[in-house]
Amino acid sequence: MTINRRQFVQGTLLGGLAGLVPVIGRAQAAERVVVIGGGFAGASVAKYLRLWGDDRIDVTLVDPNPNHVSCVLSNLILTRQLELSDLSFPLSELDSAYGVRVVQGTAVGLDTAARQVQLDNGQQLGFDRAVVAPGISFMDVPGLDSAKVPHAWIAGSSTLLLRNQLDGLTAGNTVIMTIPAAPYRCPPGPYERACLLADNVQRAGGGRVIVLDANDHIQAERETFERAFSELYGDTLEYYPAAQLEAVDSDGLRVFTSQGEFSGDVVNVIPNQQAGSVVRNSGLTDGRWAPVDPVTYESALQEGIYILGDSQGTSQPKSAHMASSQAKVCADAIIRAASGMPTHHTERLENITTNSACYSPITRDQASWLTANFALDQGTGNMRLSHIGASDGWDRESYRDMFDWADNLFADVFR
Amino acid sequence: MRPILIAGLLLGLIAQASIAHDPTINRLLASHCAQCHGTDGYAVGDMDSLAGESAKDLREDLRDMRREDQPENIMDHQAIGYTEEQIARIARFYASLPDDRDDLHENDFEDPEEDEEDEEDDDHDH
Ligand SMILES: Cc1cc2nc3c(=O)[nH]c(=O)nc-3n(C[C@H](O)[C@H](O)[C@H](O)COP(=O)(O)OP(=O)(O)OC[C@H]3O[C@@H](n4cnc5c(N)ncnc54)[C@H](O)[C@@H]3O)c2cc1C
Repeated sequence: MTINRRQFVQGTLLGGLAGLVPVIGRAQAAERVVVIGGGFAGASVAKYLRLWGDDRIDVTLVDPNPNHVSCVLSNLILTRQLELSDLSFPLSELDSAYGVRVVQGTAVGLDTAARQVQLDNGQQLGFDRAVVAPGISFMDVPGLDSAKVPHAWIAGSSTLLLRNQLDGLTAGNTVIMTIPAAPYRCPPGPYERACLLADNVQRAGGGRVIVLDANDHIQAERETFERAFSELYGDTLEYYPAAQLEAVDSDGLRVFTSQGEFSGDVVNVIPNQQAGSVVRNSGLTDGRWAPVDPVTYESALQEGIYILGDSQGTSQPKSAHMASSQAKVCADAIIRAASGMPTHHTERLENITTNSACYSPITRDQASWLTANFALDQGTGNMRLSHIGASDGWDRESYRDMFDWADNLFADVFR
Repeated sequence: MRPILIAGLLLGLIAQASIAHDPTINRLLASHCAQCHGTDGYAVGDMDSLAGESAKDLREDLRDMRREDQPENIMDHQAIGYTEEQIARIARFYASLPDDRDDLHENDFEDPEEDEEDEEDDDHDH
């Protein structure tokens, strides 16, 4: 590695801060970072640690799958407009392009004292710092068998199962879907799903879509979805707010809720959600999610462990765009900390921001969008919503923009 | 000899930093544009690339969006989420990059000198 100007300057600054001891020429061992999970958060942080940290950071990324399958756009698999292969991204590209070591395996334990990650195959990975980004796990629902009643909320086989069930719809059939209690992954996602299920039912000759929402009202783009439910899908879609899911009969395709019992021909239960199991089993949660300092994404409970994406517990929306935004703040913080530079000085605190964007297909060729910005509130130490904007309804242009947005997001994260 | 040299460099650096800002913080701010405009602002497909644009143009565009009375498109809304100072920093970062990604050396960016004409063109309306 050639020493470029900035590294020279950083070395000088570090030496200066450490009592004017020159560090130039002293070989420093690279900081070992293990990243658990190669989704939007984990792949982004691995890439940016290498991109910005060069050989100062040695990055190992662990994921059970050689490809990450994106949830983003995965509702279009249900309409047969996309295939899983369109949304599959090989993690090996992070190795060839950025020198991230990719290990296939599931992290089953995180020993914060010994600073080791245990994998299901018995392998141990030592680290100086660990980033944990396993997405979500589902909370138990009595009677739910996901092999019969799919969630399609982690893209993959469950998405295909739901699609195959929808392919069998005939005129007069009923589809039931349940919406989890907030906070859950992708605030507008379930309502987008409801629209596309209604579109499927209409194309199958008409029938009913029963939407059972555990929340008191639509959680994102409320005006847009209220309008879409009545104007586009009024004949088909019945929306029940405040319907808490109590149990499921997975063979009889019946759903029991606080608003009564419903039965259907296809049932899509999206259970309540919490941090990934490796986060919960490692003493990193406080309730359903992991508390973090959003200036670094370091755990509020364990030093040197960082939690990103859907598993972390700030008030920011659980989206892929947001997960990648958080990953950049975290990568910058880890590189600074590993170089002995400050992370909590005024200039940086004033510029801790994140953002999010979601496009929702409302029909097979029209979409809506939602965008949000967050900035650090230095008084509370939390991220504060600084602006939120949404489209006025839905249109074809936004549907086209959705693919440009997604292609750039995928490229920024996985390539 | 050496500590003195280093101290001199350090003082120089602090002096420089107070005028020019830490360019890695400009980079961090700008990285949140990348989810839509590509890593380092080199976009794929029909999205606008930001790398190598003039700081002045980027700044003016973003400020116009930010000041829209009736923000309509997604970028009007995104721009509202940043302060004018942050917009200037983002613009400065992208202006420091080459137009062509092949000419990019990631950690070799220079913070371009503050552009006199750039500053003069600022409208101080608030
Ligand atoms: C239908 C749908 C539509 C959506 N649309 C949008 C959208 O338009 N825009 C948007 O921004 N977001 C959208 N989202 C939300 C987005 O998909 C999530 O917020 C995002 O994936 C979160 O990123 P993550 O990295 O935290 O988790 P994930 O992307 O789920 O990645 C987690 C990774 O960790 C791995 N993993 C899990 N456990 C372990 C373990 N123990 N060891 C090793 N690896 C492990 C998994 O294999 C996976 O690869 C949508 C979600 C859904 C379901």
